Parts: sequence; C-alpha cells; structure tokens
Amino acid sequence: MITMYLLTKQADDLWVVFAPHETVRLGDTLKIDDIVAQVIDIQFADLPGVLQHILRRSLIPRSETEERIQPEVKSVIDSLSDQKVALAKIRGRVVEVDDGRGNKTKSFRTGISEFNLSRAKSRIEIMSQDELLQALGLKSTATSEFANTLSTEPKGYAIPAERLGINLITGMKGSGKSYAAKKVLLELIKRRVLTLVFDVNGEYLNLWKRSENEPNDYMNYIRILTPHLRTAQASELPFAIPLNEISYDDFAKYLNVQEGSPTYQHLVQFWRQQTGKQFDLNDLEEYVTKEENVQNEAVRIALQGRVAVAKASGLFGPSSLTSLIKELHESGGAIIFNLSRISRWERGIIVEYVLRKLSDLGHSNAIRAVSLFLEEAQLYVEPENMVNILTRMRHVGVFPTFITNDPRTLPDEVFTLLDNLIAFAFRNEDELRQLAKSGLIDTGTVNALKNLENKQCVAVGSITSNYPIFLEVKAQHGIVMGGESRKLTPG
Amino acid sequence: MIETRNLETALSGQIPKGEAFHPSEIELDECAGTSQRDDVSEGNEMTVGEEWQKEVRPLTPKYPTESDVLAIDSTGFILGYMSEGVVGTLRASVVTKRAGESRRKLELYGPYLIAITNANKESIYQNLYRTVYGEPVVSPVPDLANIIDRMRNIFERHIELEVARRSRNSLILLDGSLIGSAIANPASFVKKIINNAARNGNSIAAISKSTGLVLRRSRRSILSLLEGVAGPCYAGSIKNHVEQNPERYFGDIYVGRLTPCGEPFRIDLPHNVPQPHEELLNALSGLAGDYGYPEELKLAHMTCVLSGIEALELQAVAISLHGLVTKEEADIRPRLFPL
Repeated sequence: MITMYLLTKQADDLWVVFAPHETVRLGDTLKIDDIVAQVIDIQFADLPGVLQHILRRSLIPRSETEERIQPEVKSVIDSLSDQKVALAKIRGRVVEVDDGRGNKTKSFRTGISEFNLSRAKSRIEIMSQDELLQALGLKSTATSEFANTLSTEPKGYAIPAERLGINLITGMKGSGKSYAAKKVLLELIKRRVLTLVFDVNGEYLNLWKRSENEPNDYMNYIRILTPHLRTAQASELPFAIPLNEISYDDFAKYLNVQEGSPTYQHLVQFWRQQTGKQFDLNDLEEYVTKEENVQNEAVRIALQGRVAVAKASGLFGPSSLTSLIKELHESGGAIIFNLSRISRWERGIIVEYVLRKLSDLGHSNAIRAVSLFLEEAQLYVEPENMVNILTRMRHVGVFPTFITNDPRTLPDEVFTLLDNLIAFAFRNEDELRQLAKSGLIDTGTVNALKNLENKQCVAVGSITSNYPIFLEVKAQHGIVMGGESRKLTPG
Repeated sequence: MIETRNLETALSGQIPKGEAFHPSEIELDECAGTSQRDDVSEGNEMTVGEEWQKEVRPLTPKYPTESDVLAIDSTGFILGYMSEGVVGTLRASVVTKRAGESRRKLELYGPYLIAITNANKESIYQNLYRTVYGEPVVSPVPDLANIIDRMRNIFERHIELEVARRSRNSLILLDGSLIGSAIANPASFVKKIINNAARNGNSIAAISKSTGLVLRRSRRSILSLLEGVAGPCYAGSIKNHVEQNPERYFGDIYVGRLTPCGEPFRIDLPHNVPQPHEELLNALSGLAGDYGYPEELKLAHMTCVLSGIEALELQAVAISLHGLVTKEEADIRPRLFPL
C-alpha cells in the first residue's frame, strides 16, 4: 500500500511527498484521483532543521558510532529526514468513455480544466503501466523486444511502427541512441518495411551477423553498399553511381576541374549531348579521346587524365540500387550506405543520388513507402536539403529518422515538423533547450534527461499518443550491434 | 557497548490502545530534550560562607595525552501527553577519545520510548530504580511532569557506573555535579561510581554550567567568584564553606574558567582521584574548546539531545507502537487567527 501526500501545485507541477520505504521512480505515472501526473524528478523533502539534524549526526562519523536502540524506533529513526518529494508533471486525466455500445473504457485526455484535489483526501497511487498504456491506446506486451517502461513495475513497450513519421533519435555520445536506432531498424525489418541508412560511422555494418563469423536471421534482409569496393563480400556489395545520375558540375567538383575552364566547358558539352540517354565513363572516355570533340590537345590530355582517375576511384559505374530497393521493398529489409571511409564530397553526392532515386521511385509509385535513417545528417546533407527531406519527400513516401548526438546541428524545421522524439541522456543545457523546441515535450521533462542512465530514454509523439514514456532499451541478443569502432588499447 | 537490556525491560510499559494523545509542540529547527541537573532542580538555594581567603589560581592548560577521555551525557523529552499520562523518551551518549588518538568514538543508548500513566508509573519507576540502584524507592514517585527527567537521571547514573567500571586510567567527564541524597540520586550510588572509578585508576570530573550554590552575603552564584580575573583560572575548593548539608557533596567543589575567554563552570572533583586536583584542572583546561567547555562533553551533549526531526519521528513511533489517537485542538481558530 503506497501512502503519498500531495504537498502543493505550481503551474502544471504537483509536488508529492512520500516515505523512504516507498518506491517511486522517474517516469512513474501517478494517479491523483482522476488526474494523471508523471514523475520527472525526485528530491529530498526540504524540511526545516534538516541541516542541523545532519550536521549533528555528522559530528562523529557513522563508522565510529555504535547504537543500542529499540527495534521499533530503529525502523523509523531517520525516516523523516529521508522523506522524498516527487515532482510530477500533470499530463491530463483519465476519463471513462462509452464506445456507443454500452462498453465503458478508460481513456486519457490531456489538460485539466478543473482542480478538485484535496491534500487530505485525494487518493494518490502509482498508475499501473498496463492501465496507462491501455488509456493511451498503446499495446503493452511482455514480449516486446524494444524496451521496458522505466517505472516501478516495468512493462514491455513495442514501437508502433505504423506511427513512425518524422522521427528524431538523439542523445549524447554513449547514451544508447545508436543502439536504439538499430533496434528500431530491426523492428521495421520485422514489419516488412524497407529502411535506407546513411551510415557515416560504420555503426550498422555488422547487423547481419550473430557473431564475428556467423550470420544471423537478418542476413537476407540487410545489404551494405560500400563505395570503392571492388567485389561483393557476404552482405556487402560494391556501390557505384551511374555517371548519368550526377551533373557535370558534381563530376567537375569531384575531379577538381575549375568551373568555366575549357576542360569544364567540354564536360558541359558532353553532358548536354547525352541528355536523355544512359551513359557512363566509357562514353565520356570515348568523347574526350576524339579529336573532333576536344581539339586542344592539352585539354584533351587533361580530360583523359580526369576520366582515368574517375575510373580508378570505382565510384562511378552501373548501379543495382533501383532493383535492390524494389526487391527489399517487398520483403522488408535495410540498405546500409557505408559512408564511413569516403570524403565529404563523395558522401554528399551519394546521398543526393540516393534521395533523388527515392524521390523518382516514389513519384512513379514503384515504392509505396520507405524509412530513411540519417545518422549525423549535418555531415552530408545541406540544411535546405534537410528541409526538402522533411517536406517534399514525405509526400512520396519517405519517412526520415534523424539520429544525432547534437540536436543543435539540425534545422529548426526538424523540430517543428517532428512526429516522434526518442531522447536519451543529455547534460548540456543548450542541447536540452533545443529539444524543447519540438513542442512534443515540456522543459521539465526535458530536464529529466539529465538523470537518465545509459540506454534509458524518453519517447514521445505519435508512437506514445503524445504521452512521454520513459523507457529502458532492452539488450539485443544474437546480433552484433557494435560498429567498427576500435579501442586504443589491445585486448 | 554497555549492557542495557535490563533497563530496557524496566522502561517498557503497556498502556491501553486508543488513548488520546496530544503531541508536544516541536520546532523542527530546534533541539528537543533537556538534561536538567540535580543541584538546580532538586535543591533549594544553598549558601556558601564567605569567611575564607578567596584565592584565585591560574590554570596551565595541559592536554591529556596519556589517558583516555570519556564524556557522558543524557537527555529526556516528553513527546506528548495522554489524559492521564505522558510518553517520553531517553537517550544517553558516551564519547570516548583514546589516548594518543584524535578521533572520537560514540556510543548511543536509545532513544527509548516510555509510556507512563498514573496507573503504571509506580511500577515502571520502581522497576527502573531497583534495576539501577538495587534498592526500592524510598521517596515518593515523582509526578508525571517530572518523572521523565527523574528516569533520565537514573538512566544516566547507570551509564556512569558502567563506564567507571570498564574504564582504566581514564579521565571521565560528567555533566552536572557529584551530589548525593537527591530524590533520584542515592548517596550510596554516587559513592559507588566514584569508588569504582578510583579503583580502576580513573579520574572523575563533574562539570556544571549552572549551580544552586550562592555566596551568602552577596546572594550571587559562586560562579561570580572569578569575575574580574583574566585568563584560565580556578577558585576553591569551597566545599567546606557550604553551609547546608555539606555531606551531600562528594569531593571538592571548584569554580573554574578553563579558557581565557570561556565561561566559568562549577567543577566537582572526588577526593580519591589518582592525581592532584590542580593537575586535573589543568587537564580539563587543555580539553576545553569553545566557551571553555571540554570538547568531549560538548559532543556528548550534542549527540544525545534530539533534533526536532528525531522528536517528530519518535512521536510517530509512539503513536504507532501504543495505538495512540492524536487529537486535534478543540478550537484552532485562535491559533490560526490570533487577532
């Protein structure tokens, strides 16, 4: 039996006093009569005289103190100075609704227009997670592999994949955000959704493995596309960009051809000649070799040299991306673009190519919808392109998930349009303030992120019926979740 | 730790469940509990004749490095009132500083809860008295208003005796005076403490912040003897000049200021201590800290009194343990709206 007392209310915060033997956790939902409030911080009750009490107790160290005390007294002494106060954010109330057929169910409604609580009489209890999830219209399942709720009585929480829209998974380095992102990815694969991942840190490259030398059940659903790779190895395939998929300007930049130079002019001419046709480096080589196309020998030699470099890079060539997308779109799966060992320019051009491809496939209805994971998007997507991803691409069925350890690198539009936020621990005030811009989460709850442990997070948005749910991401077994990171010391 | 099981048994008393209980008012930021001393509470004003040479001698502080120093204090507090009884609590502290060490050890006895009504006070008091002093109560059992403090006194005497028995070649500091024949203080028991201490090579010093001893002519406290004298000093012994029942006092009575700017204290030293009184007074001066009071005795006091928070916790235990029913004030309006 939990006995808690309402101390006070300030704005939408309730302060609830509870005894040290009672267990109240960050993230717990309290039901005070019909009002629902969520614990976002726990502090000591600030009693008058407590400093004096503690100072007196500290006169002689505990290790040097022996006590003979009545057992009945022992259990209570020091309990008052250990009284706690839970700061609980009012989320709304639970109301009974009639489904029209005489069946009554409990439902959650945000806001409170009445405040009828009594300090003396209001009944305060920790709301069971089952009751909460039911009121929120969410499924509680013991078999959920994603996470457990962070509460006195944890319950399994499964990400409702159908509610994923524009998503942000964020948290400081080492907080567990990438781990969670991978778990979301695996869940999407199970739900037969295709996800394209821009992997700048090589974090997703081992997801198809059970151990270093053994594949897992996801092997057939995960493809890793690595630029500059000569031959396919297990799930890893060479990734090349068809020359006709990029502009002469991109090509010129890549090969360090100065804009406006005669060499550049010939590239423009070649691209214009090929408009509407499929072409590759061989076509370009043939073009630059012919004297009638490039009369100036020095320019011709320069162009031939550039083509040779492009060929040697292995970045340009025929691509199977379209067929791969179509194939995995049917079965569900993941295409990981390994951007970890290429230059910033190469990343940009690859990402632009992939986004254009997705857009084309979406417009032509070749694909219905795909998920797109952008790890540290600021490293390869210009801000205007990010806005484009958020606005236009959604209409062609591309659902982006941004994953970053610094939310300040994302444009404000991300936060304005965000459907779901999964936030892990942060210590930095600036980053916390940035998260509050989303409107999905209040400042008080954002501040609770400071207290989260590794792999603990707050999920809020469509996936939680807009109720912030504190979660602890479960460990994933049978899959190598680690990326390519190396340790400084051996062993 | 000193064995106190017999005392705990003697202190325990059952009262009927459902008794109405008015908790004592507690200021959370103040300490609760008193350790009122016998010569102030029990005796009438005692006069000291002034036909003697009032010599004040200087003290040379000497920190006692060769012997253990022990200090004992206790506290009693009435947690609340029943219609025909009180619920009180006792706690005693023993602070020990070993020779050659700077750290101190603390033994805490209690807090013990005592529920006393007019119906059981006779038996509880008798039990405690007999357990500690080994003889039946000869004087009337104190009234409910004073009984907790009397019991505290008996409880403290028990701790003092046990400390005197188990210690060797130590300096034992007591809060109060070496007075016998008071209501809760049989002379034989005070002697027993002193003799047990002496047998083990211990020196007892009882230090009192206030006293009922006054100078006959001026009617001022004997503590005024040091007025106008600078530095650590002492006067006495004045025991032979106490004009009423001097036999009640065991040992010599001094007035001492232990630090240059300290307060004057009454200091009782038994005759049979193993060192000269002046040496002992110098040792006390060496131990004195703030306000000229020995540090160990100050710690014993600070650790035995109850904080407001502890008092509140004990009230909660009392209510739960004895099935007490707290009563609201009949009319709280005057308290809420005094105008």
